[in-house]
Amino acid sequence: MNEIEKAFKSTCAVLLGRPLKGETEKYERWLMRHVTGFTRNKSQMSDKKVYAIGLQFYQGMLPNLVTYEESLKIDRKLSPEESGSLTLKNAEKALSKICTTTTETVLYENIGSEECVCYGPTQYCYRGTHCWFSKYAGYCFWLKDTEYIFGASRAVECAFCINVYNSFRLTRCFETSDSGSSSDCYYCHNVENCENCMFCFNAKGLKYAIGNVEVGPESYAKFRKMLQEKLARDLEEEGTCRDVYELGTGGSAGAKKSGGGGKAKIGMVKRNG
Amino acid sequence: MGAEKIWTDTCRVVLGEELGPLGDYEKLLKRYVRQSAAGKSALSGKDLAYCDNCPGDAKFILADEAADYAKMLKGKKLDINSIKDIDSLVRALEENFYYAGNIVLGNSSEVTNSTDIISSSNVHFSEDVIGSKNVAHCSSVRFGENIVGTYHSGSSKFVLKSFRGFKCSRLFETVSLNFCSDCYYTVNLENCSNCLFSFNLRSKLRCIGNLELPQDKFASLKDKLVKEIAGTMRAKKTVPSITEIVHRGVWNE
Repeated sequence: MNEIEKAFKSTCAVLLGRPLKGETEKYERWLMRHVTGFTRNKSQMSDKKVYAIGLQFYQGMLPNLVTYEESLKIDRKLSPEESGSLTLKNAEKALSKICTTTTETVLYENIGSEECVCYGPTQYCYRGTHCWFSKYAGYCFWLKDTEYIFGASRAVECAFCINVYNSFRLTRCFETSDSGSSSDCYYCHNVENCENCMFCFNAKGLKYAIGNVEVGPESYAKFRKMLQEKLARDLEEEGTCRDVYELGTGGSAGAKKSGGGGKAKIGMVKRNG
Repeated sequence: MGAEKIWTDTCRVVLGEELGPLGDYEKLLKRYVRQSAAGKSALSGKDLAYCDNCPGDAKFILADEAADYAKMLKGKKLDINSIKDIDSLVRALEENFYYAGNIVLGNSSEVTNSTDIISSSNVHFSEDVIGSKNVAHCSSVRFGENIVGTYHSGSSKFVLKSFRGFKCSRLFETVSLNFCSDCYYTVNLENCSNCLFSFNLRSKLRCIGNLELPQDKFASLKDKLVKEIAGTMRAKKTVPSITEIVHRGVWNE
């Protein structure tokens, strides 16, 4: 946890001009705003808890789970006669004694990662779900090839980012969504190949821009400092700040969704069994 | 190549035969997949798909209406020098924040009814796809090829109706498989090949119900089972879910 604390402070220093006061957990609710967390469920084999990503998909499996380590010790199989007479129609009954399984996965080697579900190889990841090939990541969902990243969801090849979503190749970005190949952006949405931009939407190839208008490095630097100071203040005092998905609306972010993949809850809540 | 051909090709490879029009199976294929939200462009009124983190009452444009959006912004001048603080800046820009639907970035082509697609080609009715080709009715696919009805897939090929897999080929109704091939109705396998109705295995070949079988016995049983799966799908347009099978399991004898 100490490494994650250091990593969060470093990332904040890069993005906000200074580290934030207090432990990272103080900011959990803000970081998990658009991140799918996990639930703790009862193992069939022991008193241990089985972690399951908080997705609707897993709901059906929850009553029949064991931990990842326990699943590797299960040695149950059908007899030759049972396997010979197995059909799709009778599968549910025929497999009932061998289908206890797990929702956890650990791949390759991991160093210092804690309370993660479905991950690997990682170094010092904390409370991440579906974290792959990443290091120094906290409170994230569905990452690949990322480092020094917090509160992110569906991010690939990103570094030194906080609260970035559905994005690819971002560096030093804060509250930025649905974007690619950009750096040093704050509160941007659907931008590509942009550098040093804030509050820019649906734009490509901008530099030193505010609200889609290029203002030049000096003017931009002035507003960037103002923004960093405000963000640090808001976060330390209230534990939260503006949401990139709530700009320009009066409603709360997060439309209703359908399908089996929707997130069940934010954060590590809901104990079953 | 449209969604229909992706469906036909993937069924032929995974199930050994074609199963008829994709439209007959859309409900089944969406079963495991996270759905984008549906909305309309505030500029043109056209339908669009957007990431459901966006609030429903936000204003939207189609991503390829960016030029029209830029023209609209030109008419709204902002005197940056008169802005004294960030809250004033946000208030001044408030009317300009239009979220995008049908977002396609990077070097992508042939993308329809999808959003958050990056450097991918031939993607239909999907969201969050990166570096992939021939994808239909999926969510969260990375570097995949011929992936249909699947949620969370990485570096895999010919995957049908599965959830979370990495570096796999030819899967059907599977959950949490890594480095596997030719697996059907399986959960939690690693380095396995030709396994059906099996669970929690490592480095196994030719298993049915977790029992390893000799090649000739396995081949005939696999053939029978895959034909039954395909036949059931064709007749009923649905099949039992692997999660239902796990749900009804009984650990204690």
